[in-house]
Amino acid sequence: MTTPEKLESGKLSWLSLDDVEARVRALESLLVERGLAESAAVDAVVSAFENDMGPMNGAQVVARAWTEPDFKEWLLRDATAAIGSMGFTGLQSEHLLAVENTDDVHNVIVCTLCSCYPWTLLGIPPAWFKYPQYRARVVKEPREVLKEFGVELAPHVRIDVWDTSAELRYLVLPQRPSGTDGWTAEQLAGIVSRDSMVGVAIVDAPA
Amino acid sequence: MHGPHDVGGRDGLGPVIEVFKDPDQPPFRYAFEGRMHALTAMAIVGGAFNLDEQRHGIELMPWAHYTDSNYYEHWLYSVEMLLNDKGIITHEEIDERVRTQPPGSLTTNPSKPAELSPLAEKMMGVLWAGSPHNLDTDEKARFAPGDTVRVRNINVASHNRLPGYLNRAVGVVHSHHGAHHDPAASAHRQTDVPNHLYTVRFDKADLWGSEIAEGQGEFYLYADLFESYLDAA
Repeated sequence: MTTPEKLESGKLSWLSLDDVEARVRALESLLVERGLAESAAVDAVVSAFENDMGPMNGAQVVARAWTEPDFKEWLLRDATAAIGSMGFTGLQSEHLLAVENTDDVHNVIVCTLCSCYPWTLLGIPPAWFKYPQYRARVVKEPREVLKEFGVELAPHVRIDVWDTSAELRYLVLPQRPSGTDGWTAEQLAGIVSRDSMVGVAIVDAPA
Repeated sequence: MHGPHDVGGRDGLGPVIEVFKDPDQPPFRYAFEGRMHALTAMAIVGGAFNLDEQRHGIELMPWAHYTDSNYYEHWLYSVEMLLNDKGIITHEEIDERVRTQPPGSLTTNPSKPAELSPLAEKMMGVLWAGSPHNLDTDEKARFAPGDTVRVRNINVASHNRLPGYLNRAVGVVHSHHGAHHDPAASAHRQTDVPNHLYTVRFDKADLWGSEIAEGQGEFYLYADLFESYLDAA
């Protein structure tokens, strides 16, 4: 069984992390020689993934939906167009759907086959989304998995689990917490977590 | 194919790894992860292989290797195999380069170069424009929202996007998304073939049996499935 100790130790029975790093370095230098890559362009792409794409983009979409009813209606009807109007569509975010949490329904997203995730909107998926444990279990025992993430849903709340097995990418529209009346969209965006937009967290009311 | 990647509903993989739940985990946990991700995207943009071929390469990993390895080791496995099989870079060339390259380490959190080369500009364009997967077709959709469908019993050992736990399940079409390019045609023939795409809703008891279903309260499972995976029921 994969354990954090095994993963972090670099002592798996396959490649050690040092070996993977050495092979990736070798691969990069060979791809550069073949004209298929440039190291500075790799830097640019990594930097974009680390700094420009991420949950801060999705949080702006959520905050706008919380403050502008017309935008929320558009988002739920045609997320690709609504999110595209804010400039957050792109690679792995070409076809978007937004699903709304309510008092009666909680949505959670998974890709059981790999790790499909809206990169430009939410960034690179977190490790728990990419490794097999979550992917195996959330389609079968979602209430248990959500509990492990600290989300205890009332018994009457239905869970909608979305297995993103094709090229549609999903955004969960979490519920706006109480105690935020009169907040600006910018203030609201500051409290929307990545995990709430995948469905494994709720947005907490401000302390 | 229902290879090691197809984990939906499988038991015994253990709990979600605790350290991964820390919201402050960086997008790339090791420097090689970001570089592997960027190199793969660049090789796809450069036409070395396509996304569906890359996914299929991961599906062909030995089971234990898939389960017990770093996520980006999956990408390395697939990209190495594709480059080797297409005659672009052989496994032996990579082995040789690993032996002869000077010692060094990869930079974490590289900064964006002040001036972007044409390739870097092109990559930025691809990142923010994407590459839509929908295709026009004259073929009429066979199903409409509300239709009851049964997933075909598909067990071919080639690429598709049908999770094994849905084989033979009966569901209701929730929505239709027009036609998207078929991943099997793309992975195996490098061609764009339209295939209508639906979101189908399944009942927990039909998937997992009443014993499991009762313990989990109300839930529905939705999956995005191509028309060629479905029959009327």
